[in-house]
Amino acid sequence: MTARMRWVIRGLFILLAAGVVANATSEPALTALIHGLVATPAEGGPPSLLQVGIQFGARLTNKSGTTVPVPQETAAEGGAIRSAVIIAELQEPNGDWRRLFTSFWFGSPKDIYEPCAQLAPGGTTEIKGLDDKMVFPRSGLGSAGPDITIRFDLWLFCRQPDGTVPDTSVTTEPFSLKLPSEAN
Amino acid sequence: MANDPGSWNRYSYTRGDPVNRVDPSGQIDCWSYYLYLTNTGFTDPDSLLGNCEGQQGETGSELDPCSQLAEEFGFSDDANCNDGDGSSEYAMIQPTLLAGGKYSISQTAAITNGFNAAIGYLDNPKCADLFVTEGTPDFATATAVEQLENTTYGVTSMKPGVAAVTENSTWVELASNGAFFNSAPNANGTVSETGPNSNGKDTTFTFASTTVLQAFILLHELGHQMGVLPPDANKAINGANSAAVLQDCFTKVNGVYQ
Repeated sequence: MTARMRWVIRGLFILLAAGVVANATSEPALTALIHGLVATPAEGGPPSLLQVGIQFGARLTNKSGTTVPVPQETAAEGGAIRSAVIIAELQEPNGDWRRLFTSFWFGSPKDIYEPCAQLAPGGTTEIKGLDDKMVFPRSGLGSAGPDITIRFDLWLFCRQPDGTVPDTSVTTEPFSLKLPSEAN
Repeated sequence: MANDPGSWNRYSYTRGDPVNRVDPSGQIDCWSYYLYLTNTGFTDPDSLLGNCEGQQGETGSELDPCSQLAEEFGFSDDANCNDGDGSSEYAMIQPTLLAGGKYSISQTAAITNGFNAAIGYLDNPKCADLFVTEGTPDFATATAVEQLENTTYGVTSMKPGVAAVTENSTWVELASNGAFFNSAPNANGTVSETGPNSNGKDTTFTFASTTVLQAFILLHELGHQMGVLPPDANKAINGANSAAVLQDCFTKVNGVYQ
């Protein structure tokens, strides 16, 4: 078997696995509008890295025909994780999207998730008080900035009554982000 | 050392046996000290360490970097220093750290150990084949290893649960507060962490040692760097990517990845 064949077979396997899972779990079709975003510089990193702390809200709409588990609208006490920006993409002047980073979620803390709310088909909810930290090389921005158009692949976390944490993710609508100039 | 076949290939410090050769003592190696000194502003680490390659000095001799470091900085000698002086047979390869970053000795040692263990796993053709990209011929081992060697590693605090981030082919940032640096060993020395499986369900994965876990994280990121693993857009894809790395590069014995 040639290297090319192995590569193709492996790619098909991964796509098949992802597709099977999506179908098996009736992956909900959420849309997400980011609003109220505040970006602040995060200190301590080397000059070649841009580290930005962000706070934001997300308006989620369930476009599917089934109920979707989502985090509660407001955070409970205790600092539970409600979301994570796994992928950030920058829109180029020609409209193309270019990834700034992809995160590897592994080693997640236990018992840190709030109970899920259930978003009915066609329903909308406002998730407030989300936060994250973005880290990427300044070289990845090229000449872009400080005002950039960006979108996230956002994972949403909550705990179902049976104790499981559902696989809920959404690609946000594009939004504007002003990079803090003094970010280091 | 010259008669040791394992010393002939600089990529095979694990002697083709990464399970049992990944720095089982958890000692800090010469390169870790070297990198630590470099990243803490020490301008001439060579004066203390030589070039760290082929260190064969007897403990306490002028050729023994750990003895010199112990004298210079008050570190305990071979109790926590692997300099290849006979107390350990591992000649580490130096990873590249992001310039201007701040790294503790233990973080530097963790990156060095995980990096070298990852290179050791790539000695296995099945593992190396995972990183074969379209159009790349079957000498992918060197390609994958070269990609690792060309990678610049940084350390930054991140969202809890994130182990690492990457995007372009030469940059990986490791979470200082993530699994790479903070996994506490179980009583038997294994390490257990939670992550998505290929169904997107949170699952506990157990590794033979912290270093094996670290190699797994670096190899997962290597898959993204080389474009053979898609971005972890959801937990199922994340889990499928991890499953591919675990299946091709690691052996599962009694529920423990080695």
